[in-house]
Amino acid sequence: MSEQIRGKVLVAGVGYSELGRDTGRSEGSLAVQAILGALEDAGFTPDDVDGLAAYPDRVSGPFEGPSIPYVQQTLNFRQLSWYSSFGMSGPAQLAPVASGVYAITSGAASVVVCYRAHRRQTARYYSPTSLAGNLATYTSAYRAPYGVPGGAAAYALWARRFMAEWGYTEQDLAAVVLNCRHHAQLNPRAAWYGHPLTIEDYFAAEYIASPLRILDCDYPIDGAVAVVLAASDRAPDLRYRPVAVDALSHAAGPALEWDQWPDMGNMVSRYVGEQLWQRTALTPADVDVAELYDGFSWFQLAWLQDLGLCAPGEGGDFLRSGAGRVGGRLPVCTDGGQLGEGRLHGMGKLAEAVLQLQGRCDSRQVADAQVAVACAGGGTGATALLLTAGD
Amino acid sequence: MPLTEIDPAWAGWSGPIPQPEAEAAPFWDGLRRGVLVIQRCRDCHTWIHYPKASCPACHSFDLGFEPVSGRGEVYTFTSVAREFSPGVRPPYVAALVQLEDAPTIRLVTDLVGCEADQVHIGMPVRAVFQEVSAEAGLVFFTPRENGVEQ
Repeated sequence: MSEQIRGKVLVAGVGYSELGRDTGRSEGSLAVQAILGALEDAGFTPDDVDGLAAYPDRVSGPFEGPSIPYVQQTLNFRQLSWYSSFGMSGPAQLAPVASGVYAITSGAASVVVCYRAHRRQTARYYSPTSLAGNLATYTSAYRAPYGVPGGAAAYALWARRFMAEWGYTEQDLAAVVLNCRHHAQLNPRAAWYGHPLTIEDYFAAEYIASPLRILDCDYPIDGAVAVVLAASDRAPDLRYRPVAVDALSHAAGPALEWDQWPDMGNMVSRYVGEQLWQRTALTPADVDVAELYDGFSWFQLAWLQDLGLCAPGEGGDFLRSGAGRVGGRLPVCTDGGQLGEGRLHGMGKLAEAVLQLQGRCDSRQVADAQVAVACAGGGTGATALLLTAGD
Repeated sequence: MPLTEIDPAWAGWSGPIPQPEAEAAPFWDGLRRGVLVIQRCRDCHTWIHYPKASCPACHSFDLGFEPVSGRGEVYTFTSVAREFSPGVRPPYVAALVQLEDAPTIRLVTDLVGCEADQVHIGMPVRAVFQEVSAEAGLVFFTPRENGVEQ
């Protein structure tokens, strides 16, 4: 498959809305700001856009964002030839990007805007619509009555088994959180910018669902991120150095519902990682910067070992050694991640990877970054992209 | 064994009420009656959960439900400090329990009759039941050392 992708699709531009704990703005306003920013970043106008993809969609889960029709009409996209939204049943938050890549390689579109916009989660319950009236329907009937509808309670169950099988401890979770918080101090966009964290602070934080503390859960914020993908023949039109999509994977594992996953010593990153490296001439040793998903801290330990970026079971040691910091062997989550910058549902992973490969990250810039990996997802569904500087 | 024999203070159910799908009605009715029944393929004998229309192993449509002992062990667990489902009040210990008679089957459940700091992966447990509607019950698990084995 990589032959159909490599050299054919560029990330042409990225854009962020204002990010904040409470911006007072609508999701639509955040989305439009991010998309206009990404188009300007690429040097494009709305008339260049012929593809549009969103995560999440309006109907599939508790995370909702401005709809494709809202964005199409507000930005007056008149040339769309492909559009789609992606929900909670897909291969996680970078699904619109993966499908945008396919839209371009297939010829269905040539310039695709992918966006994610969301206001800070304020609902008290992790309650899909199937819980309306406190009735647990379909497969939520097997989980919600036990207080495990999804979210932190579900991923705490998986975390404990994963940690037990690899020998990870809460010290290793702390290493993830501290590494992200360190990088957040270098990123003025980050929600925790100006708020460093000590290991004592980490262990003083309350448990949400053991072994996960509140600091192991990504930080809900208001914000939008947009990414513009383009066919490689648009490279001469771009304002900044092009970034090429080298390979991607969103391989599924044995089960798409978390409680049916047969071996919780692993998560889906095992399958995504294996397939990603089968689809490229690059190797894990070539990666200069890794924007790894951290919706929950332990996901990052799984991604590190499943992408071959550290030895299995050694993710905590890797991070404690400083190897994962800017200036270290392989900087991880250079923007602070979702634990430090705030929850951007994985789209921030791709945007930061692109900015790193373009050399636009100021004090957190990874020197001579040529190859980056960006991934989103944990548990049963995920997508990873391998990106290279230049077209 | 009903839940009230483990925890006499148990009074009613304030959490979400399962709405059984037709394919799964025998499972839910079993829990209501205090019996754990799991779907099984009559052709290749594969255990199936959640209940499905056909066997994932051999695609047979000839499926039935068989009672199992309710004995199992804790595959993983978490002590929950927030109210994730309306009316399921923290603290509680949620778990995945692997069934002794059908070891490929794991159930999401809560552990009752024990303190969180007593729980460990591999802990032997057995099923207790709570009727929550005319169509459905829930299955909880308690350490096997609690009370008399059925």
